[in-house]
Amino acid sequence: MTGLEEKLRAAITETADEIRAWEVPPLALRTASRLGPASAGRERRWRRPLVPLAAAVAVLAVVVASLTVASLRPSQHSRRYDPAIASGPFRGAPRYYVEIALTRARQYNGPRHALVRATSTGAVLATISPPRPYSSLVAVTGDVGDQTFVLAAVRDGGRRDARPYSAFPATRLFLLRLTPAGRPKPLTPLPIPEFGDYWTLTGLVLSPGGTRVAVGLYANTQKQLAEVRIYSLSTGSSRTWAGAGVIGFGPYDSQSISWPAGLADVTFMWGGGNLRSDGLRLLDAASPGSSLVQDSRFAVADPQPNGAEINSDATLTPDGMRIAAVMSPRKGSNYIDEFSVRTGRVVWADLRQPGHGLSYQDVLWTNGTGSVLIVKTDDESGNGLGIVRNGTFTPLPGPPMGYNATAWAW
Amino acid sequence: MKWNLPQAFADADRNGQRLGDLRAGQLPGAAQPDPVAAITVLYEQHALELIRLAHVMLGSQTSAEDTVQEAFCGLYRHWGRLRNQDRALSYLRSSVLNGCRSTLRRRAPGPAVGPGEQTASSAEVAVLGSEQRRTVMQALRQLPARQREALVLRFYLDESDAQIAADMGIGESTVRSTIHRALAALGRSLGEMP
Repeated sequence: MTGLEEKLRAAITETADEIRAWEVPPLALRTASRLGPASAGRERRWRRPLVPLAAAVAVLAVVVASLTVASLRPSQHSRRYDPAIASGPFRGAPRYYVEIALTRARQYNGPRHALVRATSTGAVLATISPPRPYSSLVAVTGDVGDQTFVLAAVRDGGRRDARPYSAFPATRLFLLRLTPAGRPKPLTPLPIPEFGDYWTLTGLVLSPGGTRVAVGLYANTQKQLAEVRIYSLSTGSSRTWAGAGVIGFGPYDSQSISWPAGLADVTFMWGGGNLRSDGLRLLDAASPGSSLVQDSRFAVADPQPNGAEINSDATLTPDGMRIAAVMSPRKGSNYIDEFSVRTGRVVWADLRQPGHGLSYQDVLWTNGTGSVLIVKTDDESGNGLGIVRNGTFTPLPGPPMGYNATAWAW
Repeated sequence: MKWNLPQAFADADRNGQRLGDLRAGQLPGAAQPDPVAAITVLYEQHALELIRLAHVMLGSQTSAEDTVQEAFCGLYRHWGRLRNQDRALSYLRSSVLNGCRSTLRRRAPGPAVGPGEQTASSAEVAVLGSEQRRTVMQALRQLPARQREALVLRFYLDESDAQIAADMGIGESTVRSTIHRALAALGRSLGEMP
């Protein structure tokens, strides 16, 4: 925990303690009594006539879903595996994704496991727990296909976000491979040492082709040391770039780094306390050097000149031309911007909203050119996923996830 | 049954029961069948901490008390519609946070407190040597409401990212970026590194 965080915690606690127990006024329910508690019977009365209608809607939904699923089902005779969905509203997206979710709903400090899901149906194909002594999975990344993933596991089940970075449990990386049918093979520990002591994982991305993994790390030293390390999956050999600042927005922020196909560049979200260099930066992993700031180049300012901030993280398109991000303006609803990597300027913006009270939160995946995006949305009831194609938002199917699911990778 | 609420609060304070169940988000004991009795028990056990939470958010004891009172009245009105009465405490916490947001939206720029009210910025507190706290709280209250709320949930209630996401109705990644940006802004305001 930094000195500022300690000071803030002390100030808030002391301010709260200004209210003494004997100062609490008596409870007065008189105002509310005039209306009285809501009657359960009254609620049921309006529901009753809706039951047949709800049943009809449910049947219709099942029929439509079946037809949709049937049209998206890969051909049994296909000899060559194609990771992308061929047709329908989700065409072009990878068939499977891995989601990190609470093992028990609403137990926010409890352990998390991974679910392998089918993109077109949301169906859970497999549930993955970490091998002992690891008890919780906290982050995930995938390659451009949909069969290789890297998962981060921690030794204890609790997420102690509020504690000092140094108190975070040791983290180990595991390789997950899926069969073409989406079935997982056993998790394999990578030949990469645990991140323990004072290192906390703040970014995780698999290289195109799935041969290397880049991690963002944060050490709670007085100089706020951050590192990007790139490891070979087969040998564990590594290269390190370091700087004084923070990568991403906190522990287990999988999306803070991206690494598109065909490029040496790794993008990372950088905060070093200098507005001229803070924002999204590009690191050429093939060139020499070891400095995160001097050996990387500035790509997108955060905040933008109009005051809008990148809402959480940003994603580089696989063709290396654009960076897609959800923007949070000073006033109004979030929207999607795509920036030119070359100029850092906005080249495409989608100010339309997903509808149904949803709000854009994150760009989680893009196709080669950024014309198809998988985005995270949320509303008051929780998180959701959807595809944006030509400005049209289509929600991905699946049961309501509330706030139980926390990370996704395609 | 007659509840001696002030005495119960004093006991709780003396026993160091500051945040306990409020942090855990659990309603102690079985749900009471009688709404008045159940809500009275909830008030006895949690009003103090909810008022403290609202006080940190609003900087005004009077507004904090009003906000919490309204939250309990709302709970009473909606008791029959509460699907899971074990979730009453979560409902209350969300109501208090919503109430704080509404108050902050309505509030005109200027002093956050009523006339004559003692606050962290009062002369008395300054004399007690809390200049640093006053400065930090002033900087905290200059942040946008969402950033302030996220910091209070993190550093007062010790909530995890996921829990803050559920309480604020935003995504976990947004929680992370909100807290990051709030600390950066606070650091700039106080001339410190976040």
